[in-house]
Amino acid sequence: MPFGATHQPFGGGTVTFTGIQDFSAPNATHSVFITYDIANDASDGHTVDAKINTDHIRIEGTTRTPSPTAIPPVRAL
Amino acid sequence: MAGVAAYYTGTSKTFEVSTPFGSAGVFDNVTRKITFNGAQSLPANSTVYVFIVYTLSPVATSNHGLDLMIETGGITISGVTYRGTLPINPSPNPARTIKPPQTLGTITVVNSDTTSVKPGDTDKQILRIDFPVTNTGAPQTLQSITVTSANVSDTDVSAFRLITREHRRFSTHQCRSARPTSRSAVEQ
Repeated sequence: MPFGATHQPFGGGTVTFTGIQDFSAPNATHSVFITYDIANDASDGHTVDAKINTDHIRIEGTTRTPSPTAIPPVRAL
Repeated sequence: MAGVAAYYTGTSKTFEVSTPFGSAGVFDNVTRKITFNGAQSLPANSTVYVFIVYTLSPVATSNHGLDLMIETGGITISGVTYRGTLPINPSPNPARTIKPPQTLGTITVVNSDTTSVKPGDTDKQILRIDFPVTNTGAPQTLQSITVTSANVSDTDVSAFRLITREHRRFSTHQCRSARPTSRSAVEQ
């Protein structure tokens, strides 16, 4: 089942995935990957990247900020 | 207890909250019961699922057990009552036990792959967000992540996903824009 609404584009440059994901294993690092599909007509020389802004992670009812919120480099086309 | 709710998930055993059944509420102080009323059509020749979920009080007592039972006649379908399942004895083995949460360390963002991509590529990693947890206890629960675009042009991206990794278990949550891609090969 999807985590959050599906089939939504970047609306205003952001999109929020909402759901419930328990990090059940103790004493472990749990990872979330953000991946892209690149459009067939994507432009050469463009770059693609994403970032997580301040307070844009919610866990256990509390907003969290990752460190850092944005990092270079990006992936180039 | 701060609340109890019911959710219908159709033929999926995976819990999600898009289809509440009835209204969330709390157990009656006297009867210790709650009834969810609704009208959910059930597909033929299939097994469908309803999840009962609890919202816990922030001051819930550690080591208390949580459980429930559905008494005989506790389920009504098309005017006929059903037992549903055998009553569950809440003791001595409660379904879940209240424990202090595990400790969440500093959440970090890293570029897990920075090599170039080409038009038509799928599932190309952009960011990895690490959530380190220590100690035993109740798991930390991720509820939402807002991703902000840092693309030169968002039209270069036809779909994006969140993939959660918890030891060897993977699940994929996808968002897709209106621009389709014709390739399906994964090149990572």
